[in-house]
This record gives sequence, C-alpha cells and structure tokens, in this order.
Amino acid sequence: MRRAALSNRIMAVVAGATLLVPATAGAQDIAIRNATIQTITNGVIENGTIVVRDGRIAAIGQNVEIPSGIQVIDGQGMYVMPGLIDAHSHMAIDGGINEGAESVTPEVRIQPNPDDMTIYRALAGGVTSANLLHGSANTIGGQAAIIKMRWGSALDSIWFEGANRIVKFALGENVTRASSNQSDADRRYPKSRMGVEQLLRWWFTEARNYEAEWQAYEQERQRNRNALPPREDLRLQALVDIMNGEIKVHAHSYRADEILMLMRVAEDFGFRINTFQHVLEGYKVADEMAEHGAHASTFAEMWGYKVEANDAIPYNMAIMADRGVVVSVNSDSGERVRRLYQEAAMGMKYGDMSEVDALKMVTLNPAIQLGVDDQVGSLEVGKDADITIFNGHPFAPASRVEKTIVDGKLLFDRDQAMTLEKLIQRAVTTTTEDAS
Amino acid sequence: MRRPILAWALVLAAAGVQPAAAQNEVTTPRSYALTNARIVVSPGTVIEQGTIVVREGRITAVGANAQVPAGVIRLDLGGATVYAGLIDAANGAGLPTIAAGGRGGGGGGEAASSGPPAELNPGVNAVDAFTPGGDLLSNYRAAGVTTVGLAFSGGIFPGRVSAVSTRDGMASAVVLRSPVAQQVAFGRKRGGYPSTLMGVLAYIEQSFKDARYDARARAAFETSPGSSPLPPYDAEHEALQAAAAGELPVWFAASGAYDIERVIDLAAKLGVEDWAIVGGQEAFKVAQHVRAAGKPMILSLDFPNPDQMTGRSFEAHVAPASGDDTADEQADSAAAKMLRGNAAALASAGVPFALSGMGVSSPAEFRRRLVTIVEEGLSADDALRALTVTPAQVLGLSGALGTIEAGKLANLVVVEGDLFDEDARIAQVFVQGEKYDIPRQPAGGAGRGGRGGDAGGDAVTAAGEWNGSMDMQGQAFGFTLTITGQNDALSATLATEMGATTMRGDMADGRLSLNGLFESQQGQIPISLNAQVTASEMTGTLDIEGMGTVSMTARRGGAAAGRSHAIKDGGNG
Repeated sequence: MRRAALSNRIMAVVAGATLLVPATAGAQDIAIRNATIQTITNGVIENGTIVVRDGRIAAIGQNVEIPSGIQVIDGQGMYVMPGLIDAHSHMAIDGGINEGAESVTPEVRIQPNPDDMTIYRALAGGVTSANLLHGSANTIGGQAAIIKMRWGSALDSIWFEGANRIVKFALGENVTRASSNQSDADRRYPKSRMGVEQLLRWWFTEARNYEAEWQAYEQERQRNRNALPPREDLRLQALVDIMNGEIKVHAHSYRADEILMLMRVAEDFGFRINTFQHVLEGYKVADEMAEHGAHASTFAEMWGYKVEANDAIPYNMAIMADRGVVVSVNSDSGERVRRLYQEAAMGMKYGDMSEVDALKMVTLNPAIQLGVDDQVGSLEVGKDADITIFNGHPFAPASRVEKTIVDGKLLFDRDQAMTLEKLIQRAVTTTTEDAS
Repeated sequence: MRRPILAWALVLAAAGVQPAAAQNEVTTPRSYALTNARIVVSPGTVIEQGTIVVREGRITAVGANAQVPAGVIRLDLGGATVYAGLIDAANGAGLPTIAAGGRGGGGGGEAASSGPPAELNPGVNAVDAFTPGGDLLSNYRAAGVTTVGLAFSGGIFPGRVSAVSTRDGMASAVVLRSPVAQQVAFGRKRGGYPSTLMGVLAYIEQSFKDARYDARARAAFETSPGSSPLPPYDAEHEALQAAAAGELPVWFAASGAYDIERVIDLAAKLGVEDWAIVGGQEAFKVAQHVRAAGKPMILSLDFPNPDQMTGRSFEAHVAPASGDDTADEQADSAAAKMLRGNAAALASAGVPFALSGMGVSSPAEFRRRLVTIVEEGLSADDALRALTVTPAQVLGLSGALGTIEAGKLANLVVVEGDLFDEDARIAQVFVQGEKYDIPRQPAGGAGRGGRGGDAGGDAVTAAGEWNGSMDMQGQAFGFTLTITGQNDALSATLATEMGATTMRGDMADGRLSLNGLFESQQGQIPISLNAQVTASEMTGTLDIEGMGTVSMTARRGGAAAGRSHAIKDGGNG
C-alpha cells in the first residue's frame, strides 16, 4: 500500500530497503497452517498448524484453533522445521577473530556485529542461531558469542540469552603455524603438538594456584578484615571458570591422538570437553569421546585441505552418532551457512542415518552443544518460535527456504526479498539506460 | 616532556609573535568596554543593546546600562552580536597522531619514537605533546573558537585531555585545566596483545583492575612495610589510578552505534561514574541507550562515510550498486542526512552534548559544519549551548567559561550577523581579554580560507574511480580505488581480490594521503597510501604494515568497478 503511493522509483528503493525489517518484525503472534511439520522430537505432523504467541510456540498439532486477528501463513506444500543452528561460525564478528598475539586468551570475548549482511544470508538459509567462535590461532582462544539472527537489532539484543558460556580451544597445525608465522620479536610458544599439551597443563596449574590464592584470602579475611585481596586476573579467572564447568570448552581438533590428549588433560584438571569441533578423526575415538561426555561438531564431506585433515571419512558423522556421541554438522563459513541442511542430508547418504537423526544434526544437537536445547532445536509448545519454512523437504536438492521466523518475527520472507531485489534491480537498470 | 613546550615556543617565535606576548603578565591594556552590542548572555538570554566591560582578562560588568569605567578602551560594536567564546570540546590538531590504533578518525602519521608506545601512554597530558603548527591558533580564533579540549585520537590509553585557550602565549599562560580527563579508546597495540577489539575490551578492564590493585598494594606497603610486599611499579597502572579511583573523568572514544553501546557496557564494568563519549557520530541510532546512561556526548562533526553507516548493509550489498549510480547516491544522501542530523536527534532525545572538531580538517570547516547541523534541524540555542555551556561543564570550567557573565574569563566572539549564518562575518575574538581582529576573508563565504594552500580548491580533485596496480615483489596486483568527498576530507575504498579496505585522508597540493585498516584473518593491518595525483593518474606507494612499502600507479577509470561482493569465509580453521 505504502509502496504504491511512492511513484518515484528511487524513493521506492530506499523506502523498501529501510522498511524491510521493521515492516515484518513487529508482531510476535503468527500462525502457520496446512503444513507438514517436522517437530524433531515428536514426529511429523501432516496438515498441521502452529500457533505462535509472544514469540513462543503456543500450540502445535492437526486440530489447533487459530485465534482471530493474527497473521496466518498458508503452509500448503510447505515443510516446517525448527530454525537451523550453526554450531561453528565466524560470521558477523566485529574487530577481529583471532587475538593471536598470545596463545592463551580466554578473557576475551567475540564481539558480534548485528548489522553484518551474512546474518541476512543465514536467515535466507533457514539458520536462526549460531555459535560465533574465536579463530583457531590460539591454544586457548576467546569466549564465543552465541547469537540469534536478529539482523540489524541493537547490540545487546543479538545475544542468545541463556546459552552456555563457551570458550574455544585449538589443537594441532593452526596453533603451531600461528606461532611460527610471527615475526622474531613476537614469536610465541608453542610450536609443536607437545608444546600445546604442555602449555595447557602449565596454564591450568597456574589457574589452580590462583584459585587457591583466593581461597586462602577468603579464609584470611575471616581473621583479618583488612587482608589484602590477591590481584584479580581476568585470564586466570576464566581458566578457573573453565575448570569449574561454568565455561564450556569447544575444541578445534583433527587427529585422534590430540583428541585423546585433550580429554586426558581436562580429566586431570577435573573438567570435561563439551564439544570437539571439526574432529575429522572422531570416528577413531568415538567410544572414548562418548565415555568422556564430549559432543562432536564436524563437516559432512570436506577434508584433505591440510595434512592433519587427510585421514577423514564421510562416515565420520554416522559412526560417532552410532557410538553415542551427540553430533552436529556446521558451516564454519558465511557462505555454507546458507545450505547447512544439505550438509545434514549427507548423514543419510554416508552411514544410513535416519532422516530425523540427520535433521537433528542442524537443529536439536547443536542446540544441546550450545546449551539452548530447552529453548530451541525442536518444535514444541513453550519453546522459542524459531521456525524455518521450506517449499519442500530440506533434503530434496531443489528445495529452498521460503520464510524464516525468529522469536515469532518474520525476518526473512522470500516473496518480499525478491520483490525488493527486483525493485532495486529495476531502478538501477533504468538509471543506467537513462544515462546511456 | 619539556621539549614540546619548547617546540611550541619556537613555532610561535617563527610565526612572528612578539616576545612580549610570550610573557606571562599582561603587556597590552586588555581592558575594554564593548558598547552598542547585541549580547547573547547565554543560549536564549539576549540583551538587545548593551555593554560588556572587560578588565585584566575578565568580564567585570554586563548589561544594558553597564557603566563604562575610566581608563578602558571603548569599542563601539555598531550593533554586532557578541557570543561567549566558542569551545571545541575535543580536538587532536597539533597533537601527534597515533598510527595504528585509531578506530574512526585520525590515523596516519607516526607517533613519537621514544618512550612508551603512544597507544599505551595514559600518563601524558595533551598539552605537553601539543605543537600548534602554522596558523592553527589563529585559525581557531577565525572560527570563533577561544577554548579547545586537546584530546588524542586513536590508541588505547593515548593520554589525558587538556583544556587550553587559543590566545598566543606560553603553555603556562594558556592552559586552563590539565588533566581534564583520562582518554580510553578501542585502538590496537602495534605488535602484541591486544590486537583485536575483543582483546582491547579485556585489556582495558584488566588495566583498571590492576590500577586499583597497585594502589591498594602500595598503600598497604606504606602503612606496614614490615608485613606487606613491595609492589612492582608500573607506569601505566600508576597513571590510570586517578581515573580508576573516580578522581579523573574518563573520556571514551566511540563513533559507531555498536561501539557506543560497548562503551556504556564497559563503563559499568569498570565501575567508573564520571565519563563521556568523544565522537558519537552514530549516537542518534542508540539515542535512548545514551540518554539512559545519563552521560554527556562530545559529538564530533567529522561525519562518517554514509556508505559505512550502521544499518546500511542491506542496501550496500543487495543493490548491485556502482559509484555513480543514482539510486545508490540517493541512498547515500539519505544516510548522509541522518549523520548530519545526529546533533539534532540527540537534542530531541534530551541527551546533553558538546561539539567537537575531532577529525574535522580545519577550524574553518568546523564552523561550516556548525551551519550544516543547524540546517539539519538543531536549534541555534541548542547549538550555542553545545559550543559554550555544555563544553564548559565537560571540561570542568563552567565557573570560568560558557556564558557572558561578570567574573568569567573574557572569551568573546563578535559577529556581524548571526553566528550560524555562513555568510556572517566573525569580526573580533577576545581570548582571556586579548583582542584579536579577524582579517576579512577572501570571497567565498565565512569559512573559506582557513587552510591557506588549498582553500581556493585544487585544480585536481582526488574524488573518482581509479584503476591501478601495485608491484608486489615483481608481480603486479590490480586494485580499484573509489574516492569520495572534498580534497580536505576524503573517504575511499581500496578493493583488491583480498577484499575491500575503507580509507580516509586528504589531498593538498596534489599530494594524496589515505589511511585505513585492512581486515585480515589475522586481525587488522594498517595500510597507508601516498601518491602524487594529476588529472588522469596517480603515482606513489602503499605501506602495508608487516609487508613493507610497494610502489603503485593508478589511472582514472571510466566504468565503475562496483562494490565488493566478497563473501567472508571464516575458513575451516
């Protein structure tokens, strides 16, 4: 209606672009009817209806009444899923990914950029949450930012409230290479895999001492109110928080031996590795990972890009899942995030995962790894209304995402996106013609 | 740290300042009665016809019927308007630029090579590093500016703010207050930790904790040296103690909307109460947050490149835009209008703010931009408040500056017309009672002429599309360089197959200088481009930190190269 009133094509473009988000982002009440609904946890509902109130799923089933006055999406022919979750991403980060001048920096925390265009692209691929990780240059990198794809939101509303605090560790070639690449003055330890283990043990020993120092102070303070507290150290405190399980570890890893090494180091210091990232040789140590309680987040069929990534097989996901490891498949890329569901499909091709188990690798399982499975990852009453609507089964090669909803807000709508893109295209073309 | 003052004195000497003026005591009468004046006592309070009496550098009487005492020089202003002297609350002109660290504003130049790294030098007071070259002080006065908050640009802890008068004289006579505030910015350390935004945030937090710890530890040692260990001395922590203890305000530099929000967050973490933001160019986008924080903004009139404005990613990436495309220009101009309307938006939101020329090419350009922001909807009273009363408060000088009242320093601007009319002439400026007659400007409006050399405009403009190549160890690498803006304030995008880098800089006498930060996987790499520009081509060098200097040439391009559509790939770690 407003668009029709704007005769000036340029105004239409500018207004269209600025209207896109606000025009669709207001209401948090919405219903989808007549759709095939993949709940992930409670089977598939044919001709089903979902009602969303205040950003959460209020009702779901075949015989659900739609309250009057709320926006209704006709799901005829559509396949409705929980919003996809990317457990490993470096998109939408402001001001640097690797704090690489030192090899142990858990005190830093990834700074998201809610205005980054890759958020919109992720929405176009049905992805509604992501784990924005520090890079892999450091033995112990920084803390992650777990975000919802609230594109263009204020900085403080991009964070996924209630998610785990996560820190990134890294093992193997990237760490040792990052150490070697520095100029002489800045050259850092460690340069070898054995150095990585030693550095981990050294720092966690330091952290233990730090914790003991504070405990001693707390006791001393009972006797002497003027006792001088120890120096507060954000880095050591983060390591203490890791040992106490308050910060969960996601560890960049490739080789079986280093995966075993890290689990042993963690066990020696009384904590667990939450998730091994990449973990291309996880199939060799899946039993040990399951026993330790570690999850895995991997690639479907990408390997061989460096020596430590050579001994990989596409059956990795299925084998680890079969041995009881919670497996997700991730993008690690602002581009692959647009087709994460196709990565999941490969779980069925290689290793005969069930359809729902394959779908879990981009929904419920990454939700578990990020500590948000009570909020997202499946379509259930009470969960956040993070919903992706495909025009067919996501594993069918020609299917694509039509609409993506975050907290009940329609943040990607292919109809509107295409209209807008055409509008802009036309304005540009016309202008070019005018000029020539 | 004595050397800069000496250098300053030499500059003044070279500029032909009479030695007598360099002495502390009064050598000119400095006692005047300004009669037949329209007096803007404070924003919204006007005496239509009155007299101001100035004695020994101070205002001694103001009013419609103020008595003119004997022995003062009577100046009939013929109905000209007198305003309180303008205050540029934060400006880095005359201070060393902090090379690598800058986020938004500044950039370029090399910091002093000895002593602590410039980006981590919290103990230095700006006035001790101030060397006002050439006509800087007279250019300030020509724009009506009588007080400047000297503030560094870039770095992490670049130093402390000093407030100075723009009268000629020794540092000892012109410093009004120093230190005024401790500066904190989200720059980077050159070589070493912290090298990223997230690292800088953690580093600042840790440093404030350390400053407090060191203070406690030292107090404990001094109280009971027998039982307390001798704490190690750390100059950086020592210098931050006043700010950490709440004895010195903190000025955070932040331009973009998200950095402003980060400052609000960080200030709470640091436990500092008395703080302000310098820059604030996108504060209008987070005006409610800023208002809720309840702290003043020191708004820079260095308007950012509209193409880079937060919230423009959709238009910038979906629209297959090219440099000269009309739709793109329309969108750019809408964004530019919002950025120019920042001050007006904050005034409506009820956020107190002072105005700053930080990053603006010259005082003359600062004055032109005052006219601009009033055109964009800021009321003249609010603009005047942001140039007088509020900056006097943020500099801690409201007892001495900001209004035309008896007892205050005689900092006055005499304008033939309205201050915010570009064609109105600033005729005289009084700084601490020193009278300066402002020479008539050559044709071209009030603001013109401030920069000497290129004020009349270079025949050659840098703006446009350039296609070039750089020589990397014998191999040619192509690039496109898109430059927009006027020669004295240029924005540019350097696009190579590695990605695009936003740069800023200027051109004078055909000499182009641009600086930017290339976002690589390893972090930000400072790049600077220096070239001699003619109508059709440029030749020069590119300095890429860590890679050295390479030669480059470029020709003005015809077809637009378009924006980079590169999709960032995090890599498989």
